[in-house]
Amino acid sequence: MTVKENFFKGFIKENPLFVTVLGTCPALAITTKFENSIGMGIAVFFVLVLSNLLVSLVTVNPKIRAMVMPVRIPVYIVLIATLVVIVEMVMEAFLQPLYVTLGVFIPLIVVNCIIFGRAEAYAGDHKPLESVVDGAGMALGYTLAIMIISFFRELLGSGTLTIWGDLQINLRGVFTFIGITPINMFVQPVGGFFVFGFIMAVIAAIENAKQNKKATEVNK
Amino acid sequence: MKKGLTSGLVLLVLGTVCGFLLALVNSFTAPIIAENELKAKIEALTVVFPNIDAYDVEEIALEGGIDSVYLLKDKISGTVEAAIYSVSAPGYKNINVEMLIAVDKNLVVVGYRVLNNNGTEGLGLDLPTINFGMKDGALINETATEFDSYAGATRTSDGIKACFELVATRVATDFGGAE
Repeated sequence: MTVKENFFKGFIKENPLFVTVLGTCPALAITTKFENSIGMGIAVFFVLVLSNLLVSLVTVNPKIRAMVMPVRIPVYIVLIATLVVIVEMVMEAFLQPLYVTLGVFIPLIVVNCIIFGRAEAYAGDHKPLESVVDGAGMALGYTLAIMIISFFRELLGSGTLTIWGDLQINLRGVFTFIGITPINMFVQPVGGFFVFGFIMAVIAAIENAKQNKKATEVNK
Repeated sequence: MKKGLTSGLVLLVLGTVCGFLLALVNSFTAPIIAENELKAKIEALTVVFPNIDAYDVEEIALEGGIDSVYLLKDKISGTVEAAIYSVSAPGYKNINVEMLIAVDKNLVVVGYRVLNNNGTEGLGLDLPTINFGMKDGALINETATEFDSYAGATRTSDGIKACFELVATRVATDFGGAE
């Protein structure tokens, strides 16, 4: 696998949210605002890239690997938890409003399946650089996925799009012009499931179409 | 046995390194977090003392009813010009009534706000809006203990009264007039 393929696999082909369905709880909980997705994405990016790097570093040397492997699960957890607490402290100090909005989902990154999954499935068996590329690709794929969900949820549910802080696109005028009001259901939990399911269905439909096309070509 | 010892050592080293790293990050984020929290508190205090920005604010943490005192000091002389008390006392269902009470250097209550009273719908929840004997925009210290209760919400008003009493017993200390 080339570096490019390694990086981009997390975007669509192995997207952690839409394909492997990992990290869904925070994805559904915090996607009521576009801004939240960006903040969560930054936090996950930092944790995932560094955890992949650290896990790879402690397992790349055969001697150290032999010592770590019997206790690799607690080792991974300690590393990930440390990184998450660092993110939490930095966010509380410098991005307080976002810290309050994301709330409990920041410490819960520790148990986000994507982070642990990549450490166990990839970083533990690959070189540091490859692991960093994998982590970056997966984190960006996850960020992209939650940004897509929050885009639809905030737009349809509130009629706005909060990019960051006070930078907000207000589209309520468009709703008024069309003669409808924002559908509050989309910012409720049910709206999260609805949008998530809809996007997964679209992706599945595209994949099915691709496979059918391939099958047709093979039959010819 | 040797394997177990090795595993233990691995975790010990890792825990030590991670602990050191966390302490390092905490050493530079903790002061900023504390500053942010103080800013947020000061912002909340403006409901009982509007021109708080004109003073230096010093927070003193206490126990036993008065959770903290915010001393408002003159920016030049450093003398205490007013104090805001974050105080709580048992009210309805023995759950604390939480209040902010501002007192100036003349020992006059210049503002108060009930933050949480746990009162029942109706009279209990109306209590914070009731004037407890304000005179010329200020509640004279002595009058704070004159009322007994507000009919129909006795326990909540007991809590409110107890809050004022706690402040009354503490106030002289903060303005240099008592032990």
